[in-house]
Amino acid sequence: MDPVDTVVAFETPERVVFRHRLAGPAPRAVAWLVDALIQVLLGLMVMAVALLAGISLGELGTGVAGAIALLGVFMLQWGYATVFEAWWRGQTPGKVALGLRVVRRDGGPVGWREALLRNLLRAADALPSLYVVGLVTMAVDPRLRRLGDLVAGTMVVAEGRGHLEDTPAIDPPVTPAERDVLPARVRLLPEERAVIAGLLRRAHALGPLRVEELAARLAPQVEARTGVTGQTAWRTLQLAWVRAVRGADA
Amino acid sequence: MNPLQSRLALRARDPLTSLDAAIVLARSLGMVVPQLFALTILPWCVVLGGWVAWAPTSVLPWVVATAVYPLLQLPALELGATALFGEVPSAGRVVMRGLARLDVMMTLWVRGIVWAVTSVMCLGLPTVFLVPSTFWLAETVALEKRGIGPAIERAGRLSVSAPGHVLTACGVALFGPMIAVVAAESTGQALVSTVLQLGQPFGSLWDGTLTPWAMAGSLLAAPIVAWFRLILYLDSRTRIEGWDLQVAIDGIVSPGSTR
Repeated sequence: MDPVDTVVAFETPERVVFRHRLAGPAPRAVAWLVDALIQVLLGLMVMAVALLAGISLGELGTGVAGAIALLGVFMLQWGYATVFEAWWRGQTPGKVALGLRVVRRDGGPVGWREALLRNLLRAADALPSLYVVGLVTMAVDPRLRRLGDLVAGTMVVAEGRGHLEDTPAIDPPVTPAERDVLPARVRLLPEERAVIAGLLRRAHALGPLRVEELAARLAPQVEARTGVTGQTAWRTLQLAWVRAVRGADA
Repeated sequence: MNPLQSRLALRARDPLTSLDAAIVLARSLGMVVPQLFALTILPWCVVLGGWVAWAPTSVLPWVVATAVYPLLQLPALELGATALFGEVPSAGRVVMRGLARLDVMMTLWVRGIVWAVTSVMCLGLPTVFLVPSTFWLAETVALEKRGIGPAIERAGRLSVSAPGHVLTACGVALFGPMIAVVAAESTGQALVSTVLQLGQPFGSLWDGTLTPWAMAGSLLAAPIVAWFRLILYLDSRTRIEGWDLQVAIDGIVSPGSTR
């Protein structure tokens, strides 16, 4: 069985690999609901303006205003997603709210052609009701694409909203006694650094007992290689990490 | 269960992503899913269909169908729990394993029924006390092969630590099948009544009839709900117990132990 994950990797011609998380039916349905709500509100506004214009223009104006209102609602229904996706590089307001973006199969931004095709095919995806065809297509496609995406050569990804994290601090700070016995230089493997940083960031959520239990698995290896020793396994990792990251400032 | 053997990438997920992962899991399992469906859910479908055909206006089939629904999710849960941490078992093997733990599963089911009945009778009060402590029981039993006593203790600790996950899973467990029923009913009626112009040969859900479409919708949703709950449970364990960190540490200490 393949690994169960929704992450997909794209490799550029320069051999740079980008990873994106595919967006499946659940977040896309919520984004669609947000867009549907906006479309309904805009539609109501168009109709209200047309109604007021019709009343003020008399009998002839009512007919013209009605036609304009119908045209406006039609344009809204068929053009809303296309225009937004083409102008906003694959996003509609609903997708912005959920952090989703339509991209080409190779990870590039969508243009008018792709946006138009995938949204024209929306009518087929919605058949026979409640997007059942689209849902079934997404469920069987490895890249969670609906019919419109398959035809237009696009897919929907969830954009990471990550932020640069501060270097975590150790608590309590290094005492003078600990500093005296710390080796002048400590080298940690990148994976060790990442794990200890993760432990430092999540120590509060994991609780002291669990942190010590996890640290006890890694500490002997770090201790043997670096010569750093603390009162507990967790303290050993903290001291090794702070010396490796901050050097003599630790 | 060994988190080192997990086929699910262990990282924090939001509920929507967990639902997507449940759909990916359904696809990854391949042909075992329809086989398991044929072995466990189809016979029940036939029985329920016959019952409805015999007594179309009776409310009893609805009540029984609702009561049996959580039981129908258990084979899918067993399949998901085994496949995520080992080889994909055959449908027959899943059934045999389920039967071997029938006593525990039946106890869980009876507790659920008692809880539902007393909740209705006592204005939902037992819900407040019982749901947090017993919500992850089926997942704990299926994944850790524990008895009912230790499982209650473990499930209770987990629920208290991540109450948001319990609420989300409750919502999906309750509304997911309802949405599936409405979608299946609309689709079935649209196909038969609008496309084929055959009217409503099976009646309509909106008139209070338990139609084959509604039944199919609810039964198709059963495994997805079970896998969603399983993934949400694993997510709780990752957040609370740092399984992702454990896998990373064990990968450093003994390279080759992780996939």
